[in-house]
Amino acid sequence: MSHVDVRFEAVTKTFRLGGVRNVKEHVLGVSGHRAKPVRIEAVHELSLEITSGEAVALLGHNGSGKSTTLKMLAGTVAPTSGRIWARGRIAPLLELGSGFHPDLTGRENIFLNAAILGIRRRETAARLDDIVAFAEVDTFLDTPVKFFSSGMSARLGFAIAVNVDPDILIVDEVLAVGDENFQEKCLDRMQSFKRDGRTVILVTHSYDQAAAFCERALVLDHGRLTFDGPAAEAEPAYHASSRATASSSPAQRS
Amino acid sequence: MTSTTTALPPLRLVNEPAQLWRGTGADLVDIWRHRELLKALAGRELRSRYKGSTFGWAWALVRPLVMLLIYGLAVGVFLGAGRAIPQFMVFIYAGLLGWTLFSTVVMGCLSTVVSNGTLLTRANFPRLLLPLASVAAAMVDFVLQASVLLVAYAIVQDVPGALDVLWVLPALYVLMTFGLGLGLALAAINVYIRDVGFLTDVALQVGFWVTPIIYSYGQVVRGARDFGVAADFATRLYMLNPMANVTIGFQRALWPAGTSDAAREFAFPGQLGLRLLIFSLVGTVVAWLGMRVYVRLGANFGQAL
Repeated sequence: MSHVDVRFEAVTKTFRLGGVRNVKEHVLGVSGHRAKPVRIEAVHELSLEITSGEAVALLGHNGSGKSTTLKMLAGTVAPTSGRIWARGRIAPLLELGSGFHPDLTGRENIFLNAAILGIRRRETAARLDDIVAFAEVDTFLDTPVKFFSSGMSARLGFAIAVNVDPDILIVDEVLAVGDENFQEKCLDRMQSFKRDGRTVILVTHSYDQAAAFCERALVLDHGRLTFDGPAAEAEPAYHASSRATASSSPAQRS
Repeated sequence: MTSTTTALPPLRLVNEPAQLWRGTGADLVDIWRHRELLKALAGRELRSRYKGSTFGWAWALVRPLVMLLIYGLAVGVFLGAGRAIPQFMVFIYAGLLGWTLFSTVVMGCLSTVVSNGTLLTRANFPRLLLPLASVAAAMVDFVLQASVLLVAYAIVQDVPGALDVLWVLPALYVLMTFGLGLGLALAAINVYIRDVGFLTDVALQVGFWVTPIIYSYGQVVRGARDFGVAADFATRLYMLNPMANVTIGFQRALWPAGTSDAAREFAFPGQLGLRLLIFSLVGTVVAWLGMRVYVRLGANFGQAL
């Protein structure tokens, strides 16, 4: 029994680059000294549906609109037009570990991060052991997070996200941080998520990883959906999109 | 893992567009639902602030005490204001207490939004929680700072009347509504126009001096006499500052010498109750407006920060 978990309806997001930034520029902008700001369409008329239990890979080069798409799904960036629907709890793993407060200990950050994801303190306490065991940070639990290695922060971030009982799990480039052992564990956990009928959205640069784990792939190119189908068939579209930008603007970042 | 067999949660709109005039009730319900997160954020604010410092919490007391010493010495002793106002140090401290809370609330709202940029771009939670958590943390500091008054009362061997202390409540309400309203609106605008933070800092400096903290209301009235026919107008203009009324409320409540008839005559304006009532009503509107501006502009914090 499956149902729609995520729905994008003609979602467009435009950013204004070089826009008016301070009072001085406000004044100058009005008096015509400043060039008109450049509008960038990060995502263009994106429509898609994701059903529960699906593992979807979101592929695209830097600046293709992946991160913007995910931020809109996570609700931290508002679309310029169009609507986004989602069901249940979304656990976003955007820019891992960035939500941690460096001066607080691992334990304090676990409770805080779980609270942000909507988990009550008591429930977090019950899951603490699972989180710590998964992240393999038990000896560092009462150490401020600023002393964690980037791998440890990433592991802790992932461990929290998968232990808050999400309906939709967004995994953004996580697998690039952990070591092989941990990557395997993450993939295992994501597999069991799929079996539970949860939705996993995996963002990656690695086509092989996408094909190995996901049945379905979406390829974004300059904010447009250029491919939506079986992950095994996504390779040509993905490489076409990468090549196109590699020649035009190699240093572009999302 | 448990949830999949239970009732299906509904498909809901992510990031429902925030509107300026509507949605206050829904926002308040949202805050109530996230009260645990509010507590966690306030706890983080408090725990992280003094982490790694040897004296920890004591630092909350250092700023107002140093200001008290400076003004007590410079204004009270050197400029001789202490001779005109009995229990001068207690008088100053009562005013400083309110002003410190007000400026902490306003600046706290501004800094919390900027310093939590990563959190705001990463996770979706009611944006109002961050400034509210900083306000909650400011309240804890306030209680700590207020306890110094107990020491002061022991030194001057005088305490305010039990009923007089109740003046703190309306004064606090006015302080909080104006502080929160201004803080929220400025914090939201500051995300887009960073000059606002610096402007606010300067405005608070000015505000300190146009508020009767290190001088009394009576001295304002006397000073206004120099304006001749416009004296009454000048005093009224001065009293349009909500923090002037708040400060006088604090002095009325916490400065024991204020209850003597002589002190009351030159330190407080008439109809203080009515003044605070009017400012409470205006403050409620200001707080509501500030909240709406914050919520409206907050929808795009994720991209602007």
